[in-house]
Amino acid sequence: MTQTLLSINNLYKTYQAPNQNGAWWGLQKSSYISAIDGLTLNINRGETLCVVGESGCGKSTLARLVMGLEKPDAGTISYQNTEISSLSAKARMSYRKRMQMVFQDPYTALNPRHTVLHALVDPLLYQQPNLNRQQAIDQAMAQLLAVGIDPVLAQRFPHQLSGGQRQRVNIARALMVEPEFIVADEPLSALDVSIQAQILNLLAQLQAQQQLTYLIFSHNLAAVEHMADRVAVMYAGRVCEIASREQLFSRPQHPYTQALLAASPQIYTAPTKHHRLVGDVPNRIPLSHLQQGCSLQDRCPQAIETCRHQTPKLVPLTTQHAVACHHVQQTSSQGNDHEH
Amino acid sequence: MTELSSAPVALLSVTDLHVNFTSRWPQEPNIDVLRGVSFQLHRGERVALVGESGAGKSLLATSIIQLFDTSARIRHGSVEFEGQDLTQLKPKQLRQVRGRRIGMVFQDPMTNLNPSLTLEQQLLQCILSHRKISRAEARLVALHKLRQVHIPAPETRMRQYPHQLSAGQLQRVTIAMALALEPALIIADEPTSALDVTMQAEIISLLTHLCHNNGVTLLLISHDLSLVAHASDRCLIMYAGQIVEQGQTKSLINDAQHPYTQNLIRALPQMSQPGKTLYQIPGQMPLGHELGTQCAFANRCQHAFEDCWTQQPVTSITHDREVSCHLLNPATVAIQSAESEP
Amino acid sequence: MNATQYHGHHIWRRFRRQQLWRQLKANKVALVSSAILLLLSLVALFTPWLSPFDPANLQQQNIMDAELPPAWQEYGDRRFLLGTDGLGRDLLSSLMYGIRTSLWVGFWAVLLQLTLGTALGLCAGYFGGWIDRIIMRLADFQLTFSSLMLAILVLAITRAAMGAQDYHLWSPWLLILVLGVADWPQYARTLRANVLAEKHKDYVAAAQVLGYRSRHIMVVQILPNTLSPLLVIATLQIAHVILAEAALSFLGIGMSYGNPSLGGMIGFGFEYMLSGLWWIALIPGFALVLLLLSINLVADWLRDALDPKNIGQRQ
Repeated sequence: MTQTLLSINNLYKTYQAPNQNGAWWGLQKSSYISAIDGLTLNINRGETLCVVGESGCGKSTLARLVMGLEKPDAGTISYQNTEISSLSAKARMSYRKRMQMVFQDPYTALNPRHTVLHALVDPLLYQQPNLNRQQAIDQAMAQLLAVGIDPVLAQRFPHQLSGGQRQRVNIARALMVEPEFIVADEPLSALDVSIQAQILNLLAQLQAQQQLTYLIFSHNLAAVEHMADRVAVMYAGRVCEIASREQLFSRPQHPYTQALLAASPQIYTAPTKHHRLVGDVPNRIPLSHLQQGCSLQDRCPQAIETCRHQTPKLVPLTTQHAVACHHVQQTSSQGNDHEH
Repeated sequence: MTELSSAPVALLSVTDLHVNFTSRWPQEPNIDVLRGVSFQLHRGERVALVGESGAGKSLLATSIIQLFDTSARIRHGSVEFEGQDLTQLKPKQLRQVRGRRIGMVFQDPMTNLNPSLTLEQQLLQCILSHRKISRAEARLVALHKLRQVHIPAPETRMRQYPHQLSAGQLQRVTIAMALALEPALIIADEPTSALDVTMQAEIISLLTHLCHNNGVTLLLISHDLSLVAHASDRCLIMYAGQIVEQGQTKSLINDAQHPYTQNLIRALPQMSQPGKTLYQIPGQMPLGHELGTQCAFANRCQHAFEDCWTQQPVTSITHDREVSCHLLNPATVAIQSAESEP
Repeated sequence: MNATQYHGHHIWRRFRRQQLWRQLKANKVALVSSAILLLLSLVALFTPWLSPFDPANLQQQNIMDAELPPAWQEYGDRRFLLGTDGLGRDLLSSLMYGIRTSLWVGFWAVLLQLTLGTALGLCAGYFGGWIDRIIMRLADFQLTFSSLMLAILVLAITRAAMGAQDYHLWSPWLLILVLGVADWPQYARTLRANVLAEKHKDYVAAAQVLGYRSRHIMVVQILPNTLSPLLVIATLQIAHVILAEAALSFLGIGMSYGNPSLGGMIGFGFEYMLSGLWWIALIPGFALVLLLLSINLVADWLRDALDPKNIGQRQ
């Protein structure tokens, strides 16, 4: 029976935008950017959930909210049925052992003035001050071996390592405190293709060995298709489609998902002209008043009247597949089966 | 597109280019980065330069126009462009070529435009520094170029600052700037790496469209083979400072001959079953100066034999493919034919 | 834990010194300046043993020896290599003690500035919000006052309040305190800017995710990455403080009569200039210039050497 490990309910987060107007003399009221706009997501123990989205969709904000680096404005995040989003820093500490994060850019994620060994030993000693130095070093070395790094590199600095090695060190550091849940924010995007393969294999191997649960943010659809158990597609701070891997890649329902899949470069198949969206992702466009209706309405080729007034809700189509789209809900309720 | 052997005079002809970094300390050796690169570009072609980080592809691009930002120097070789050898030109003459005859599109649109100038100012600066026309005329040229790259409402957009546009729009503006002086060659260095997937497709199709319409040659640099598969006519695969394979893109992808290219394709996630272990190329790309006379790929190649460790591979040229691999050396083909896997 | 950290730092410092040492050897001007500075520092350190006379010892002074020119001149005396001043004190000994005082005051004042500025800059940059605002307004406030004016004010009032005897005892420390507190905003502002830039990097987020407390993150994670500009400012400030102390002593407000100081010696010898006894003012003046110049040249070189673009060349 699948157990829900992390549960995100109706999450909201807005930021104040700096003055957008070019003129400096105008007294413009600061407007707000809605980064997360009513997001609901559940992650089960032992699975790999990949969240796909482009820049501006709120991925990084969601990662930060889940990890407790910021507090949401509304909504809850629960870990094993305990609400963690409003905990104090002290109460959060016990959860910090169980939830860890791997960052996007392996270079800036490591302190340039600390050796690899220091980067690994420090967190361990901080959380378990009773360990003596030698024990901590032994554990760090073991962890380095587990992620495929030659222990000789332990005394090196980040700028002396390659991109793939740095990412491995990041993963090792996240694993030092023995977490059960790992959030990875674009772990592959700064790496070469051949190194991406290595890291993907490593992540899969570690998951099998240590029974880890992954929440991976990525825009690399090829990697997602390889790695994920379930996939959620994010747009403008909301989940627009969530499904098992097979369902999402073979039968995408949401117009945005379809556009993404169509635009994703495939080595043997030429890109199609269908499912094109107009315009750009609303990147950091502040709203002085909240836009009504679906956030995709200006770009969607299938927008209908309802889309302009009502925000679509995430409605399950099958047990494994939920879509937030008026058009899809309308056509499915009409009993037609649209095969895209 | 035109075939290599029967081509008329090439637009760009790079021959045996060697570039290294001069060391700051006299006792340390110079770091060889490009070790004998040769290729040609013909008018109207779209050529992709593919390689991983450290292979030297960005350096090759900057070597062509000699816009080094480090201590890199051309040690040997020639870069013939429209009949002139760019390596022999004085800086003043080189400046005439850069921008005017060769345009460049860089990777990150957020940083390659000046944040404190409006787009209009930047476009006009670019145009007026090379052409002796009036400001009003230059403005019309700029507007025309912005329309060509599908920027809506260009008159208003021109007066905006870079931070007011999205990354996709900024990259279009960069392309407009590169096209402003109607160059013969555009070098695009990872033009879509900083963009989202949907934007990527748009920018690539824009570049393709512009090149076809205006007869501009495109040199597209990327690390993503999937991306260039449908965005280029010919493909050059770079590894450790050398071109290991070059040929027509379609045939290269369907029938790769060099082990590195084969491995590169095999390592793509699409080539493995979901959930199964991906194929990974063992080892790491060596840095140029660590190699002596040997094949750079020898330590990672599953087909390596004695010759690979002692001699530089010779480039074997067939009618549409050039491969630098000992396996294709006729003398060894007979011996190795039983072992080599396509 | 400390051992590992120390080990890590040890390795780092060794690596850094290799590259810095090479850069030092390559730059002749910097090499000569550092050599001079090193020499002066050693002299200052070992002055009580090196100096031929003790300027404070009234028994060694003989008014008959007053106003003697340097040894290489006519009427010079071999005992007094650089001549004597109006009271018969050996100029060389006074010079050595003067340099010693200058470096002493410079070192401690800069240490105080550095500590204060670093602590406040770190807090302002890392915490932001009202802490940042208060500290920055404080810095602005401090900067509106010229440090020299402030020093004059404070020292004059203290001298009047304390009386000459106590002032003599306390003047070095008072000077250090005043000059130290006056210039902390420079460090705080630079550090704050760097901390703001570093704060958004992923390794800081990683540290927060790992549960580190703020103080640990500020000192262990962020500070090592922002030290270079502080080092340069500190070195330049040593020269600035020495000059300030010299100026104050020249005016008669800084070091009291009994404590030898380069500025004081210049001030004292000023009266004798027109009588043709140039060495009493000019020799300490020359020593001061030498000291300041070598410090400034070393600081200049250090700024270029520690430029982030030069560090971290790929191996």
